Amino acid sequence: MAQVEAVSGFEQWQEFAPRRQRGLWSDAFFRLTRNRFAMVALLVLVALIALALVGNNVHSVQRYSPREQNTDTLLAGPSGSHFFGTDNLGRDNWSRVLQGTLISLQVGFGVQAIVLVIGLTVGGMAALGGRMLDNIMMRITDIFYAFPDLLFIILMRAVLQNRDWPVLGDPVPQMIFAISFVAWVTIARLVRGQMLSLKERDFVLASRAMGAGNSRIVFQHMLPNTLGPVIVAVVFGIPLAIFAEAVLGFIGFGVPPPTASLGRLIADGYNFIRSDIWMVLFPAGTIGLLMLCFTFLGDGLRDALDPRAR
Amino acid sequence: MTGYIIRRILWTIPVLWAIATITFFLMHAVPGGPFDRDKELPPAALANLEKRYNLDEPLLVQYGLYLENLVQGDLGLSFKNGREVRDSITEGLAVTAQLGVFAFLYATIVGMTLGVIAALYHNRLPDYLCVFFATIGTAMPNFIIATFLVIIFSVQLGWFGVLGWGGPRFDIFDPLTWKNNFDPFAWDFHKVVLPVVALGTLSAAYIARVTRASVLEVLNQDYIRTARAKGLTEYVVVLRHTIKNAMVPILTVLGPIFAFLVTGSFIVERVFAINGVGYRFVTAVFQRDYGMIMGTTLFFAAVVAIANLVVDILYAAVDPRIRYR
Repeated sequence: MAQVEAVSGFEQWQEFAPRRQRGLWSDAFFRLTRNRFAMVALLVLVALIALALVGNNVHSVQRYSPREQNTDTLLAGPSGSHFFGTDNLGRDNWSRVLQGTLISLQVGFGVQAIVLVIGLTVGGMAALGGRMLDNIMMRITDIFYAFPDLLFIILMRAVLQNRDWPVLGDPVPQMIFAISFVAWVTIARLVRGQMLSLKERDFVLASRAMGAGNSRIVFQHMLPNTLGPVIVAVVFGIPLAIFAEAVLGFIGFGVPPPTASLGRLIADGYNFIRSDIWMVLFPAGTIGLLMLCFTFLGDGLRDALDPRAR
Repeated sequence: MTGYIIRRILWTIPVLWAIATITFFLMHAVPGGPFDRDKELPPAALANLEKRYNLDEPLLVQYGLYLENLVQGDLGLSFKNGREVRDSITEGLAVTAQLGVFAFLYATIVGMTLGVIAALYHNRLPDYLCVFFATIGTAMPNFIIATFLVIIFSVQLGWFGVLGWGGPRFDIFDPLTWKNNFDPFAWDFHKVVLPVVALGTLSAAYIARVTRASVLEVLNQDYIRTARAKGLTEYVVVLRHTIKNAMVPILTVLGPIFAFLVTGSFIVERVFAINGVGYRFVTAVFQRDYGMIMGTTLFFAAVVAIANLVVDILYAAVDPRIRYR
């Protein structure tokens, strides 16, 4: 075992020896570009994101309004005029899937943005704020950890429904909020663990010995070193948030109709699964593709940012 | 060790209390009352209903009453049909537990087999196939898997049914004879396979990953080389020496997986219209059935808490360092 490790370590060192001058991040980026799965996933994701952004704003790509009903083309199959067919009200599935994809992406990224802020704050406070604060913070995290995630998200969503509060009045921010409410725990635990172990490391001690103040140590030395695992966790969190949003849409707690979310499209498609498969096939395939790509990208990032963990 | 276990068990009590409290106040913050109908109820009837469910009391008094009942194991009444929540959960659990146990068996057997095969054929075709399955399986949400299963095996091939659960039914009650026609052997496997596969595939993929890593690690140990050197057959080396030692990390992930299979089943129950606990929970949230929401949430929280507890104790039994943390 030890021998195997030594050999692979040497090979790695050889591979990167001429490039020793690169920084940590460009090094990691270089390793990421060498990972074929991750690069394909990244390309597909960029394409999907671009398609979702362009498709919801440019009419020539969107082709039909996602709300426009047309009684002449009920449940038409995929064709040149309707790429993904039409639904039971004659609405164009292509434009509806594009709308759903945009919502999924908004929720995925929105949730992780909030989770990152809460997770860094709570985790950092627990690790650096002394024993009392650490205990309180970690007990709170424990309680949230014991809560069945999806049930809690459904409850939160039900609480937020039909409110006309300033920002939280719209369904998409409501969903982002409901999902972030349980999702921050993972990041908080991760940040705390990282910070606690970094606090004891020699380079922190050295920097303190050279007279660095607390804030300099935290922001210059500890925070950048926690970022690697945190970025990986955030990327892995995106598909989970997309999944949670799809589940909400699927059981009828998502964005209210006529807006299309991928989960709702699947639920609607189930009614016609015996006769018109494409109604469920395209939204289901889109969610599957999104989640698969984010997972592959996360795998690649983990290997790139922490080559020892391979 | 005993001290650690006792401390760990006692800690679940405040956790469950906190969850009960959070759920209670969240639920009362849901806009709209449980007795809102399209047609207004007469005020007298509404007052009677609210009295029956203690809704006329101040919120804190309701909370006190609720906790008092809870300590006595009473989950209260459903607000929609007036039945005991406990009975409804037991009824649903009969189905959810069957689904969960089958999915658990499927996940463990398939996952461990694939994991062991992948490790034994490290970096050869069977390994790549297993890793491929594991990656797809962990990345695909269960209702997407369910969707594709239904399209392929039910719609296209017509092999399996898609509505309801095929296990023995517990709710068949004949009012004429006052007998429960429960038949433990009434299985309809046409309606069992798809829900079980849909629910269990994610866990199977996860177990396969863990098993592969664990077996690979063990295969590199010196005692395996010793076993081979002393001339044992490959069969004995794999079964007796490798798998037995590779079990520890696998055992510890089985707890959370079981909890996940029981609490995560509501999506699959929804897809296949199976009347289990999860299905009842979703219906209850739609109907603002406070009693039922509280009961099911607490039930699921208790399942998760117990699973975490079992895992922590298992960990402590395996790794003595944890006990003194």
